[in-house]
Amino acid sequence: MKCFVSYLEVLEIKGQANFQSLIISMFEAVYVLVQKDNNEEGLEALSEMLEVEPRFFKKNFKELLELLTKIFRLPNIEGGVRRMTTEILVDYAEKSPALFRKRKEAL
Amino acid sequence: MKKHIADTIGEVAGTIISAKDDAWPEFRTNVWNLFKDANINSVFAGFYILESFLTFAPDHFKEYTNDLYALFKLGLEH
Repeated sequence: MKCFVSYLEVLEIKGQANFQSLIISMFEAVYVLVQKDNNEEGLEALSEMLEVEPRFFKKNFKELLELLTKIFRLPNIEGGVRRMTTEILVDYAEKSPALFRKRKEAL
Repeated sequence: MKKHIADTIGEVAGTIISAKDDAWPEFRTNVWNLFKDANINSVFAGFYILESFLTFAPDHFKEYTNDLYALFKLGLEH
């Protein structure tokens, strides 16, 4: 996943569009990592990508919110994972406030 | 340790190739061979190498976007 993020960061916006179909798979991988081992690596990669290219996830904003909500509601979730999930939500809201204005329930 | 070695290879290759694109002609072939290997550790090594390499010389794989797409798709789904 980090390799994928690393490549997306160096691609031009036009080139990134071709990889948008992988977003759902990326979200599923992040969820599986957290669910199985409380592994934060997927969340770290996601956070990095949102930091650098928030627009990449614009079309999948709904699915991103669903992912973060699902993670937050996992039983036995570690504090670090919960904190990172919250940070991702807050950072994304700062980067793309217009998206959150349309979906206030996200906050 | 394996990740550290792979990261280092990626950085060294990236530094060399970003200075002169044809300085390491076998590099790309060697990376593809890692992904073709049945050993999962080789596949991981390939991803680690690319992760650090791409930050130095992203254009080196510009013509292979479709191949990278297929690799990432396979990696994310497994």
